[in-house]
Amino acid sequence: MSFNYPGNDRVASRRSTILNPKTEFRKIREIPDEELVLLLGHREPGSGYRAIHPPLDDLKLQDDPILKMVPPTPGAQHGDAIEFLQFTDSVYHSPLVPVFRSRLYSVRYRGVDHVTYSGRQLMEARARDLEKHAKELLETELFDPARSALRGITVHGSSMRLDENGLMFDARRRYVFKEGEVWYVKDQMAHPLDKPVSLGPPASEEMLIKNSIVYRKDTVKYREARELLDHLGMIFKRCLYGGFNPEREQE
Amino acid sequence: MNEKRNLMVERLKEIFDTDDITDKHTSFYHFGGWKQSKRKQEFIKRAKQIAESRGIPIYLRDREDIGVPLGQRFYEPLYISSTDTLCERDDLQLINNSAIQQMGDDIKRSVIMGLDLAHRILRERLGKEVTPETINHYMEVVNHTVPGGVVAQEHMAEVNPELTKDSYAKILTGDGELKDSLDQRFVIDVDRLFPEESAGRINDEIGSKIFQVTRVPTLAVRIADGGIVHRWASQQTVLAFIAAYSVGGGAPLADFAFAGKHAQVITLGNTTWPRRARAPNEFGGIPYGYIGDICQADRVSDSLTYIMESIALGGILYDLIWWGGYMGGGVGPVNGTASIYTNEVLDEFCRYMDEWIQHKYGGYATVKPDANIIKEISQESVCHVLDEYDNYPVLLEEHWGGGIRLNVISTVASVATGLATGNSLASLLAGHYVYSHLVKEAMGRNAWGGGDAVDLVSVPDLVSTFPDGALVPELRGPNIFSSMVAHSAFPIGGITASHVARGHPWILSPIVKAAFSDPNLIFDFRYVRKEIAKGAKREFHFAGDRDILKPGGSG
Repeated sequence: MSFNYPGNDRVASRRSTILNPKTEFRKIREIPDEELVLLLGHREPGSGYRAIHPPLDDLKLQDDPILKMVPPTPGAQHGDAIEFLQFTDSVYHSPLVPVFRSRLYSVRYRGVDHVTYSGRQLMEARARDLEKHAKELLETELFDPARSALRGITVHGSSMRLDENGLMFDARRRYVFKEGEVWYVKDQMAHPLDKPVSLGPPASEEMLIKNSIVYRKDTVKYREARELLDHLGMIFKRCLYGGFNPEREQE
Repeated sequence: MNEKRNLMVERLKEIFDTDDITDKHTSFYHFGGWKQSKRKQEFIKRAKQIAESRGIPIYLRDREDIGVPLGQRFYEPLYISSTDTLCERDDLQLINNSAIQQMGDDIKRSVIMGLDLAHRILRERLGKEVTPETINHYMEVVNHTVPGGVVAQEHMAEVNPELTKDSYAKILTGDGELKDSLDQRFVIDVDRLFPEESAGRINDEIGSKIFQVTRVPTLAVRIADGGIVHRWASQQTVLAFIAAYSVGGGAPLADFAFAGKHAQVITLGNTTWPRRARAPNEFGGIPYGYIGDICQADRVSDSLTYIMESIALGGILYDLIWWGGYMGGGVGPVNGTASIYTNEVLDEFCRYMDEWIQHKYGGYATVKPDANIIKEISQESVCHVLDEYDNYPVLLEEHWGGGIRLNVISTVASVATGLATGNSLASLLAGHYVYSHLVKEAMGRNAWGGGDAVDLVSVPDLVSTFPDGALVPELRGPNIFSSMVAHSAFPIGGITASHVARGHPWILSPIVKAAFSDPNLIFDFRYVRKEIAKGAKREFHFAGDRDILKPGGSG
């Protein structure tokens, strides 16, 4: 399945790439499993997953055609509890932004629930599924340590100006800039970590703008996204005419 | 367009204490936290005294282990638009601002009752004469009974007038001859209060009908809900008829009560739907069209200012009090509401679109409200405002949430569409289009989770012929499924703008328009934002004070 976002400009093109479930995103950092667990803060490194029911193989399930059509995710198969992961994305060219996170999650990941806000995006999934998705979201080009952030609480910051090092504001100060890298000193719920976790250096401003999926004066001006604006206008008109006279609209 | 003074830019420079508001970089974490705020220092000092006297802690802002550490970035103050009042965010919180409370109270405690049916009962059923003299006498009596005086039975308890001194009743009629023959203390004089042309049209519409505008005491709506208002007014009015016209017997009383409570009563708000059930005269039941009627800024200012004042009034009423208080509970959406009446932002954006409309279409209400026009105006509104957010990172910082931004942008589009087309339905469609699609696809972010769900359904609903979906925009309000917080400013702005464009002297009701021109109201509805500024500065004289009941109180 491929997806063509309306328009031929570079923002539209990048949006199409983001929303293509076959895209293999460039890996730019390695986060050991132990450090990922620390950042998420749901369990102690090395401990098992919290379970809310026995593994499905141990349960006698009612005959249900949906079970045959939709195979359970590994987390569901093992009875993992549902955990959460939340990102805040700066307006200043975070590689992913909330609405497109939502769309990306929808076409790429199974068994996740998500809520889209203006600055943040919440994902809920079975624990081991969530960790798998978190790994891709944090290790690849989809994350920039200066403009994207893990925040379970006090998410404010997406629209703030940036600090001297180009980092997004965080009232909880979960991360610091040290020797060219961004180090998390607190987990997503702002509990202090025993050992800081580096997420590497921020991308350059040029690179962030080049890969931006936001229409802005320093990428592509929204006024110039004619195909997109026409497409939205078409949706608006169809909703309008459909509401006024559904039968005629169907014709 | 000409280079003009941009008051929004001036305000932003001042509140952020910087000359360069185009820089997207700043510094954080060194401003002294909550200590930047004089209000919070004051709150903490008071909280310590309270905790000591009551033995239970309260307000622990200075504790580092409780919640978010406030003040990690520069804590900018706010200018209230159209004023020179600089205040803190806390000053615009519903509980902290007495003017905002009184604005709501003055609306909620108002009820309008037609006197014609009661006069017919007096004349035809009871054989009484009704003349200007008897009406004057009745008005004296009703101004005794409505604030809590007794007329019929002995040994009844009465109300201390000091506690209900904001309560009274007045007469409203379009009949000039009758009006001139009445005691002027009791008359809402449309001719004196409105510009000549507006007064003439309002008088013509009201005609010879006579209405009694009753204000029950502020304290009444503080001890009960809006459902008390028409009942209080009706009961005290029936008693006044009995006393003024020497009427006895049960059946006439029932007729008066029927007239006052049901037959000829205009409550400002309807009962809300079961899931959001509230009594009549609560804010959720007030139709959008009444907001521009309650607002009186058109009597003293230009069209755009009137629209801005109406938006401030309705935005606060619906978003801050109704959605934030009644429906959500808690401290509520101060920031989203404040964005529409602070720092001259909405004013500046609407001025831009006003000029754009003049240039593009040649004036107000000059263009047919079709889908392409709505699309064109909405696009220009969104593109202009987003350009400004790009140009001024401090503005984006000030409007830090999607709901805040959408509240502003949708209102700009709605006002502009209303002005250009003079069509309120088109203006609402523009607001919903902005909310549902236009901003989302530009920024890749919108409002909060599900916040645009109502907008996605509202475009087809608005033009649907199904009775549960469509309604004349002026009669819509937050008491419908397709409404939620931060969605009140644009319908009010759009509807008010549509009628302004057509030169209408009222939006939905000339009676409501005239009733709120009454100079005896505590809140001055001509200057909504100035009154709120007084509340922020703690200079507003509110009603409903109970100080005389305190130990040592006198009155």
